[in-house]
Amino acid sequence: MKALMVFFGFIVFAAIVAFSQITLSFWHSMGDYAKLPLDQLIEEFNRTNPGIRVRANYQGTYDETVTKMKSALLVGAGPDLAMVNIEHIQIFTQDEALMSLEDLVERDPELFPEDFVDEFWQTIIRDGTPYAIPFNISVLMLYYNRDLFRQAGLDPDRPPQTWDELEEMAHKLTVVDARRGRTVQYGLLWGVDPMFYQFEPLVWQNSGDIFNEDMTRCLLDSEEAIDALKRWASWFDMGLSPRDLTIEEGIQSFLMGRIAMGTVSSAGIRYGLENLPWELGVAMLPGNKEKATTLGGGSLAIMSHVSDEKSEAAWTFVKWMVEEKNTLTWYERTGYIPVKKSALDSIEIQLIWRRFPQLRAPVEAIPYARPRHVHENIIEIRSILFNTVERVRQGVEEPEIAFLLAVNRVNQLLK
Amino acid sequence: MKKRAVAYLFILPAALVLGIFMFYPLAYSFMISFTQWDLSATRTYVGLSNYRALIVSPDFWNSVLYTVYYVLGVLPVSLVIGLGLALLLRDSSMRGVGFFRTIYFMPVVTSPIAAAMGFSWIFHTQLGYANHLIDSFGGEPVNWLTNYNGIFQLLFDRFGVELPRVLQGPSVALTVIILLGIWQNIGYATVVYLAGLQGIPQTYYEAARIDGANWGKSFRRITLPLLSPTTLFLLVMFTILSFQVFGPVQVMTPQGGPLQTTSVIVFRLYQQAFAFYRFGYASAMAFLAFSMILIITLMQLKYIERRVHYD
Amino acid sequence: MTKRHVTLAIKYAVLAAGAIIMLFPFYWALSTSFKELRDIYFEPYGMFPTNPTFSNYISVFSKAPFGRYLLNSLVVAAGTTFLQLVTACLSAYAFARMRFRGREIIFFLFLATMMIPQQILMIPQYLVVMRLGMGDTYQGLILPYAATAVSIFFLRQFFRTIPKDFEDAAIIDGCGPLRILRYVFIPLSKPALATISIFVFMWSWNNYFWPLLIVDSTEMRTIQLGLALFRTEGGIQWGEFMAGTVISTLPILILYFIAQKQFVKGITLTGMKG
Repeated sequence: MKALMVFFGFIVFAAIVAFSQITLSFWHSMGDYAKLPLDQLIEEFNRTNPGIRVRANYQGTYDETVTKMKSALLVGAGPDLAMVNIEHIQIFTQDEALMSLEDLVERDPELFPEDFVDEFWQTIIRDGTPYAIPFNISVLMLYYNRDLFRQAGLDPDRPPQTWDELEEMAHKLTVVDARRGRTVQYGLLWGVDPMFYQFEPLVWQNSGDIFNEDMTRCLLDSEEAIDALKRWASWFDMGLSPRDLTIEEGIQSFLMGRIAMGTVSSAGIRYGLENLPWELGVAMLPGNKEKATTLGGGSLAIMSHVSDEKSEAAWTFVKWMVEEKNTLTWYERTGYIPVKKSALDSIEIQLIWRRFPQLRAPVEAIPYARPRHVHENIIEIRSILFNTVERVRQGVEEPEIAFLLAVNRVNQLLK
Repeated sequence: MKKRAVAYLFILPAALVLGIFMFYPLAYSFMISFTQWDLSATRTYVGLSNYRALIVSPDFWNSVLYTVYYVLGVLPVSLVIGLGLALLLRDSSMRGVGFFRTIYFMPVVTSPIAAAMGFSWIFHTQLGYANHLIDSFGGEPVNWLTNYNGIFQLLFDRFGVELPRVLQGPSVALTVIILLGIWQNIGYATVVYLAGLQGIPQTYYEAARIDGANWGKSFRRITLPLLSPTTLFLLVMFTILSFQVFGPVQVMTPQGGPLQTTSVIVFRLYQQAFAFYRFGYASAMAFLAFSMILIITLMQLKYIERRVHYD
Repeated sequence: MTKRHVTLAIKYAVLAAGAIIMLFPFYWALSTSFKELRDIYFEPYGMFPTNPTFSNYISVFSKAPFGRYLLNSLVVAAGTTFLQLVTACLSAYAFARMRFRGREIIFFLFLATMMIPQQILMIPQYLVVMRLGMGDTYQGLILPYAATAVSIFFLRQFFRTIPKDFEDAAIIDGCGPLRILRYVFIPLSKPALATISIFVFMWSWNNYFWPLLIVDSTEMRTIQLGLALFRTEGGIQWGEFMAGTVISTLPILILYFIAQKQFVKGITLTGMKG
């Protein structure tokens, strides 16, 4: 009898727990190596917050996630909260799909916007209102193969600081098979990508800019921008960089140790340390007239259609994810930068650097990191710019003409 | 009267499914093609302007040309090799025939995405097997996926001849994608031809042999005509499917290839829809592609079906 | 050596040469899936793994519930195949053998559904499936493909080659159309049905874009979505990707091998074909 009572008691208790539990569906874009640390973070949240259960669902790449979210929103479906690339926030705020976090931030005693790294906090503000919380923020870094540096007689602890040094080292790192007249190892691959993410810092480093302040004009027809393009194209002309590889092939060649230096997002540092059979070095991008790099990555947003109860729970989750301890765990296991100043100043981060010295460089790059421009046609604009620099790389268009033509087309899309 | 009702009942299940999941979406997309829509709640009616913009867009006509290259590259080669293999493999009593049938079919069952990834490694300019092989025979490595030159133009380059644009042929990069298409389609053609060959009664061949016909003659007089329904099926299917090639292009050249020379119609359409969120424009493109395929298929059915031999 | 032997030898030589070309990518995928990372990176042309390892396979299963993905793909592919066989047999018979008003037009309308680039239909299809409440379910994955023009077209072509005499005999015996289909056409069409089954199953198994759009939860992911985990923006993990590819291709190959035997049996049983 007593046993029965206990049994029933247990059932009732279980039912209460089960029914009072709020389940949140969370869509994200962390595939492969970043998926595991994310899953583990969420598991820990669920364990320590019995009233809330976050169900994390991987939805594909950032782009695929946008398509899915947009389609789902059309029929009032979709997740309760989502990881949104900072580039895509605009797409969703236009549709009023993301909840404004202004009230939540204002009345919350635990979360201080001032504690977030300023550059990061700016990425989630639209019209003065925060629409997400920065979570997986990365910067573009110079990755280099320390083994190949040693082979070329270079000091792997002294990566290039300027474009001149970069060229000089790339020369030493380029190996030509003289008998067959073929390059077997390239010094450098500063790639371009359809998001134009990797090319932007070159213009900034040359004191130029891509667009004007209020996004009405493209500035790539400036002398600074054209010079940057010329300089970049000359690396291919000089044979320091492979002209005959696609972007994907270039990444592959770099990973396989046939290219000595490359530009890669900091998010891949831990993956590289664990999965590359050669020793990885990570450094701030070399500069020219100034130093600069690009910010990228994602943030956590709550959808505007969720109930008050759910938005409270979602807010608890978001806050938890960016707590000092958790943002540091995430950093150590991926390479995404801690988003809070307190985490950057902590003793723990010093310990992480002792374990993984390569993780230090992206933190030091923060002051030079710039957020990217936002516009409703930005994806198409970038595609135009990407095709333009590719034509220059292939040698079918001259840099001056290329950027002049591109600026014309881009300005039309900016109107 | 009753018989006719039965016929409609037989068609009903398929008609229901196609109606809900195909015709309705088709009508929906057609409506979208007259609007500007970025998948948000509002749509603006723009009349024919999407179609007008497409017809004057050189990018669009380039993509039509690349698509035609692809279809003409994949279709005849796959059909001829497929028929040849089916003839070699038709005799079930031959030893190892099941083994060979399985091998030639393997590329068909492979996920197109995985196959395209594999091909992009094999044709990697610096690290791929293709160049490794060329290299070990002392040849010059080829920059497969970054080479935008038309293959026919490359042949004529030696004689210093510049071909007109349309005759320059698919770029080297597109040729690699065509090779992948052939590799994946051969098995399909083989299997369909095998099924077709099983339908030809052995007695016909025996009768022909008694009449003193040799292999070549019975191939022309019996096999080819009796296979014509199968050939028609393959011709129509391959045209329709390869006109819509997308997956391999997206995987092997995600940016549309060197100087956009692998940007076939559906690649451009996908880019417009799912990267730029211009669903109206993309839908218009889809319907232009649709009308082209429709005309080609109608012609195939009209002119070829006449010559098809049904029992 | 008779002439027969020579022809046979040539046959085998041609088949074997072709087979090597066809097989090479598979051999290479298989070999890569057993390679260590060092091997893949530093010996890209090595035909054999220097130090064969199962670690890629273990890691595939530990990173994601691949067993569950396989099961989902199996349910979806089998369900789609079964439904398509039913809808295709019925309508192909009507198109091939019955006379009714609008036959050619309806048939052509069916065919037309294949001619529109499927990518453009995905969003409206998604809206339909969601309104029917079938998002993230097996129904949502299966039903949109419960009938396709390809299968109908293929079977219609096949049915039209079946001699009328067989049917006439059955009609004299007083069989209705359903019975004729069941007892005459289906038994005679085993090779064609086996061919369709394999194609539909394989197509459904390899479908990527549709599941990507309508599956939200981890439990409903199919094998192709699972494979996508190993292709991220930062590059591809070749060892694991190849292991995943091997795992996902094996079931269909086995199925084909079985169906392929069935297909031979079907012919000998009907006794009319060589």
